[in-house]
Amino acid sequence: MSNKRARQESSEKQARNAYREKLGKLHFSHSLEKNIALIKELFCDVDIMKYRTIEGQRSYCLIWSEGMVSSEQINDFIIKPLLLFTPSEQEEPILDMLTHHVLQVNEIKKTGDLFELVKMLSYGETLLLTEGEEEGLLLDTKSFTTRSINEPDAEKILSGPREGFSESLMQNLSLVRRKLRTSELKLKMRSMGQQSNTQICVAYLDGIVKTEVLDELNRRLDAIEIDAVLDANYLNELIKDDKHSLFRSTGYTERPDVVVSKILEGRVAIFVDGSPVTLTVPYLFVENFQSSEDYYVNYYYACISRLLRFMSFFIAITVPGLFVAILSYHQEMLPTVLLIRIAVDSRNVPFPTIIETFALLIMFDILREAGARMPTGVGQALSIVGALVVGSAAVDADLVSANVIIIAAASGITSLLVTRLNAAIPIVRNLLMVLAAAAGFYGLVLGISVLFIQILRLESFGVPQIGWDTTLRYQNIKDTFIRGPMWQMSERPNGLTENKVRLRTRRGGKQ
Amino acid sequence: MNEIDIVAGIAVDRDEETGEYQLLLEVIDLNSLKEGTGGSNSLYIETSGKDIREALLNTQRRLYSTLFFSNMEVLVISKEIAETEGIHDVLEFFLSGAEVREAMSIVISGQDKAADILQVSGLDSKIASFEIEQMVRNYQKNHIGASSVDIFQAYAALEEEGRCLLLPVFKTEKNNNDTIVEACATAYFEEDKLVGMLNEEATRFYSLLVGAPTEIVLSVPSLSEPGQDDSYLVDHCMDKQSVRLEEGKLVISRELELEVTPQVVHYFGIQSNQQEVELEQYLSKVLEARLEGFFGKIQREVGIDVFDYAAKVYQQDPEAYEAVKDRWGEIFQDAELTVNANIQIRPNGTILRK
Repeated sequence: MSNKRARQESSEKQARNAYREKLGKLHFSHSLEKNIALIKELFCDVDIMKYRTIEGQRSYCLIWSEGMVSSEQINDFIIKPLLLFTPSEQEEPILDMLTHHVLQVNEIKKTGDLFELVKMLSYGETLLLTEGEEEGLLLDTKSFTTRSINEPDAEKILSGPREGFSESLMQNLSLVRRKLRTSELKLKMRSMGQQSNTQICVAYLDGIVKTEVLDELNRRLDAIEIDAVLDANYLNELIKDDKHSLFRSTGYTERPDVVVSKILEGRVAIFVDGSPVTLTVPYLFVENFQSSEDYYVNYYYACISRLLRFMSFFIAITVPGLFVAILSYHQEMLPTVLLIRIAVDSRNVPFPTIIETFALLIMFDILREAGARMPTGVGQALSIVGALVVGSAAVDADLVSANVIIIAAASGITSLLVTRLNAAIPIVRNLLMVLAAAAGFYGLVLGISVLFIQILRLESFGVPQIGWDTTLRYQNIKDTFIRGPMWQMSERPNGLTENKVRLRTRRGGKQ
Repeated sequence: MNEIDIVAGIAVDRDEETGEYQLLLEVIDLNSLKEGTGGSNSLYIETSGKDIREALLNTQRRLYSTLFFSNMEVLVISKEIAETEGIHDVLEFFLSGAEVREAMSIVISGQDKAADILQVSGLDSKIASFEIEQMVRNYQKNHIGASSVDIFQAYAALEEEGRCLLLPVFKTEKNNNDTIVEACATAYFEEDKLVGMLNEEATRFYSLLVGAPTEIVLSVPSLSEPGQDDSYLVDHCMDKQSVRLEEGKLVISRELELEVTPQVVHYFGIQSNQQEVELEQYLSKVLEARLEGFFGKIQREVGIDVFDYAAKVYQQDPEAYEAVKDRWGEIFQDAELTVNANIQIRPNGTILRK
């Protein structure tokens, strides 16, 4: 690294830490009045901050953020005991006395660190200051309005648990904790984002997780210096292995059952407060094709579904390119009757096949994007207008041929089966199509080869994403192209953990 | 796609006076197909030239679209070309073209002009080339007529040792005021020249001598109704064949096991199992005699190994074949065929024994 670059990074780091350093230089004094003034100065122009002074045998001041605390708790279990409390001449310091004998709050922390105080005041805790003390008490009075537990819209299933995460970190952790009643489930909390101070929780099962993966994750998280983390995807992109790769290197889900199953396989889950999405690492490529429902239905059915998803991925990326290559260069490969049908259909269409196909795929993506953001009623109308009216009119006007609509629809619909690859599919599809238009099958095969090489090279936190070693073992492929029966799922996925055995007995059914 | 004219089939003739090749190209009429108008879906382009290449180049002058030969289904060669100059050069021209599909069927015209074969009304398809192509494929499947031969197979038969090329022959017929096309014979070649044709019955016997055909009908003089023939449909056929050279003599042994279904009411005359066994033995003997007779006729009248026994001997023992290949014609004419047929009658559900 050059000296100039190092100096630049150093100055940036200094600037980022300026706020923290500024707070670090400030301290409470013995004067309650000065301490309140200090807090008011820090929260200048923050009108939701509330200050309640209690004058009794001793002066106190309670400070909290309105809307984030429980008023009943403050009234009944903090103010009322303080009013009734008569300080004695005991030797115990007043803050300790209040903590142990007066305040009826489950979590109390004594601190004079203003950075910590500001952070927790912004997160629903109440600060108690008293005359003559250089520290304050942070009282846990958090009370947020959170979304109820619903089934995630993006991961709906027909059978199996319907719970989904919400934006509340603690609620999310409780959903996971309830399913893993063991002390080996570790939940390490940390704070990220200099302005947002977002709570992050790293969850894993001790004894199963690979320490190398955990260390690597912590290293990457430690390296992040950002003003705010508003969603899990912020971290996803910041801890990604190859920052320009089209493919994910972290899993994501809104379902507690999925997170638990991933943790049980040796992965690490990353919860982000304020986001219903939980990340899991390492990420295997086959996870793009897995669904939680695969494990809740008959395994024959799950195998068919899994194979369909693989086929869909391949169809989605290759069919437009294949179509363009055949129609532009290799018409002789088509059966005669099919060739005639296509030729008749595209008889008066004024555009080359590549333009037709590209335009329709773009149109499909526009309709999908518009439909996804619209209210349900408008979305349906959009589908009808887009798919039926515009499509039919375009064919009638000989602007596009019906075959291209079928190809675009086949590619578009199949891409919806593999939603985890929704970023990669349109880009790969269009690149393959351009290569096919430029060089026919040669271009297409070249593109597919490069794609496969790229997929084989993918890594996630030091683990190859393909997850196979050089030996072909059933245990390595039992949950890839197929979903093997549960009694054959005796080992955890290859590469994720050293503690491989997860099923020690065979079937409990008829021998 | 907008700038191609799909060629469905080509008929190759030769003008007797000028000696030029005359080609008739059947091109798919995409406009009529798009508009859904009735009638033929073909356009015909006539052209001529000193050779086929020149004739095709002349065709291109009349079109702005490119002729697209990759999906050609049928190549019809006139009888005159096949008999006089041979078909090798014609096949080689089309086979060497990068575009042409190697699975295109080759047929010989039973008419004076091959072009007449393509200018007919199809009964099943509005494109004559497709009609002919489907017909020869079905003939091949059902063994009821001339076998389909793809261009690469035809060329291979000309080039390989001991092979005799057989091609289906088509002619035009009248049907309800329309001119249609039908298979009429199987042409056999010596080297690349047409030397004769097998009629429909001979083609059927030929099928029984070289393969295990089903769905063919055997007509046999009736035992119960003298003067009449009874018909039996071959449902199932298994065959074994031995072809070997024994002291310079070609010895062919053929075993056929057939299950046949009677197609006639005379079968009601069968009273007992004994009678049925006797009928089966009778049918077997008749078939053996007919096949051996057919083989003898080919030996005497044709004198060419149309059954490709030479190729079989060559496959088994190339050195032995090389030693006798120059006098293979004589060896074939002196060959001895033994047919051992075993026919079993399988009554169908509608014909009940009394």
